[in-house]
Amino acid sequence: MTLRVRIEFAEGVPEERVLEGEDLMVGRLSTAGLVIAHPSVSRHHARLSARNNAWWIEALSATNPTLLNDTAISGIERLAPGDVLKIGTCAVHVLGAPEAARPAASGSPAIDDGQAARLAILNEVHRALATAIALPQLLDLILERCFSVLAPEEGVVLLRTAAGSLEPVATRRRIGPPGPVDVSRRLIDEVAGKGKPALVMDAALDERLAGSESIIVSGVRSVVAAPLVDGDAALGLIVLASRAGVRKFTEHDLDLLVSLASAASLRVRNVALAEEAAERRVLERELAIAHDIQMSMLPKPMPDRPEVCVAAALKPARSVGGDLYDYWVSGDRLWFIVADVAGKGVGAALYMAVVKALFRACAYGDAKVSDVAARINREIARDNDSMLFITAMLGTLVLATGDVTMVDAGHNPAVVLAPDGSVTHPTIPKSVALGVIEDFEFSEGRFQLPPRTTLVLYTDGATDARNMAGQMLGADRLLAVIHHADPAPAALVTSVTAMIQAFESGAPQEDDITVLAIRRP
Amino acid sequence: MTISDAHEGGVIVVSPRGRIDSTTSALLDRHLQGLAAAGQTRVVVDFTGVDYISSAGLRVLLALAKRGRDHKGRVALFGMNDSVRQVFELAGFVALFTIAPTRAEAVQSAMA
Repeated sequence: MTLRVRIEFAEGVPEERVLEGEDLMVGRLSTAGLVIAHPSVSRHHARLSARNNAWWIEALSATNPTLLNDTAISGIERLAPGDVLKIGTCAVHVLGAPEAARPAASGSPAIDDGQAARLAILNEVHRALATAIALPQLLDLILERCFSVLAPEEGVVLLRTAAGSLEPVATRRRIGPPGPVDVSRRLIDEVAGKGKPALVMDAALDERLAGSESIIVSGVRSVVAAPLVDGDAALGLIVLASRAGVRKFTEHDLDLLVSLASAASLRVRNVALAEEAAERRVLERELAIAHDIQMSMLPKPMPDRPEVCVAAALKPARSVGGDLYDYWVSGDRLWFIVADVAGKGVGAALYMAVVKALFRACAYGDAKVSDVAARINREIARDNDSMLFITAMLGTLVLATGDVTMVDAGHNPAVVLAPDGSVTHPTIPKSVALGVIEDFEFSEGRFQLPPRTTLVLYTDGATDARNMAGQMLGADRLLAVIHHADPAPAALVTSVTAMIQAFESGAPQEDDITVLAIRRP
Repeated sequence: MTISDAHEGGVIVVSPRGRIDSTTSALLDRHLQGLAAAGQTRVVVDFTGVDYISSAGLRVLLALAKRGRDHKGRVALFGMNDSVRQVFELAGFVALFTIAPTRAEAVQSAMA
């Protein structure tokens, strides 16, 4: 039977072709009955078949749909003159032929037995796909159906693992229990590597097998194999094999296997996506736990004391972050630190925990602030190949006198809010950030925090916060807010963080933000 | 961020443009590591096109300076705007780098 078509490409000159036959593969392979040599077309894209005095179209690619008059086709559709098929980006116009006239009465086409069995098996697999069966059952079903229609002696499905190798995930034997089925590496490369189905009628003569031991150890001579393809990536392959004397596969068997494989491909990909989503949910739960642990490492709010009030807030940009604050009263003084590990996320959070532990281990009583900084620095700098560093402002406040001693290890300047609302930066000598130079000697700065005065420390997530327009908050705006804020630490911290949030106005927070305020009543 | 290279004598001048933040710093890091792998140890980083650098960006430059020390190389920086220079100052990193006033002086310093 003949069929005349006009192929229109997205670019270039249309081509008119007259097709002849009963069963034509449509694809970009040169062996196809209707070759459309265009990159948007799959190798085995669709099938044209002539039955009952009409032409029929069947989509074969799981990922690259075939459209009939702009509607994706799922089963088999009858073609009529004037119909337009969309194959990849190419339009195939059905021009018709005398033999291809649509029959007056509609109804099921008369299909020969082989074709009917083929449709039945495809329908069954497609139905199975529609239900939520798991991948192993689907693969077993496909093998089982292959066995009942194609009658191989052995069958195996191989899938690509996360590591990239192809491993058998389902096997079946006509006689005996399922067991390993050996498939030659060359055949796997040919089918999965190049995405080409293979029909090997005589293993000994086929160059694809030359030099390989055998496809199947028990001297099998006839093999059909089809790739499981997702887009251009091979997910795996289905291989069926028999001794040639028992069962010889044909091109029709290969075509059926290709159809089955395309149905399986879609499911494999969906299962992979579902598993990925499940893994992501696990990861999100773990990050939520890590977030809670990290937040629990921060000091509990300290009740206001007659000598000092402290409040702080930390808002990580992701679930966990590299910012840190800590404070505690030891002996006659308050120890405090605000630190920022370069980077953010899990890596930074691990270092944040290390710094916190080191600070708690070293900072107590009347230890020297510069010694505490040097100790933390040494521990971090040792074997620091990743050049991770930490900026920190740390110090002590003597409760009775208000004497502050601080080390500025590469951090943003501290701010002092005086009772008259003026804001100033106390003079602290600049030291290099922690973790950079192992034997660095840190310098201390000293000043007195008078009563009714508030010391504010923060991380650069505050000054570098950006709005939708990409503008940064900047130190000046931060100082202005501190200038106008209620000087009580809890209120001040709240108004600073609220102002940053308002400034960002929905833009994603890019860095962890920490604010710590210490006030002498 | 875009990165371009220019060769001047035995020195390579790397010119990143845009923001060097936690997202883009990995790109610069890979670029600089690629130069190191190719045996290029005399490196000048041109900051004239850099609007912003975050701590993640500083880390990339620290790694560059460390590779320079480990392999007897030379690293010099030039062309920072005020806000970028302030980030170096805040972190206490000014003393760790050769920061030259001009391109010619940076190249000269990396050649020495």
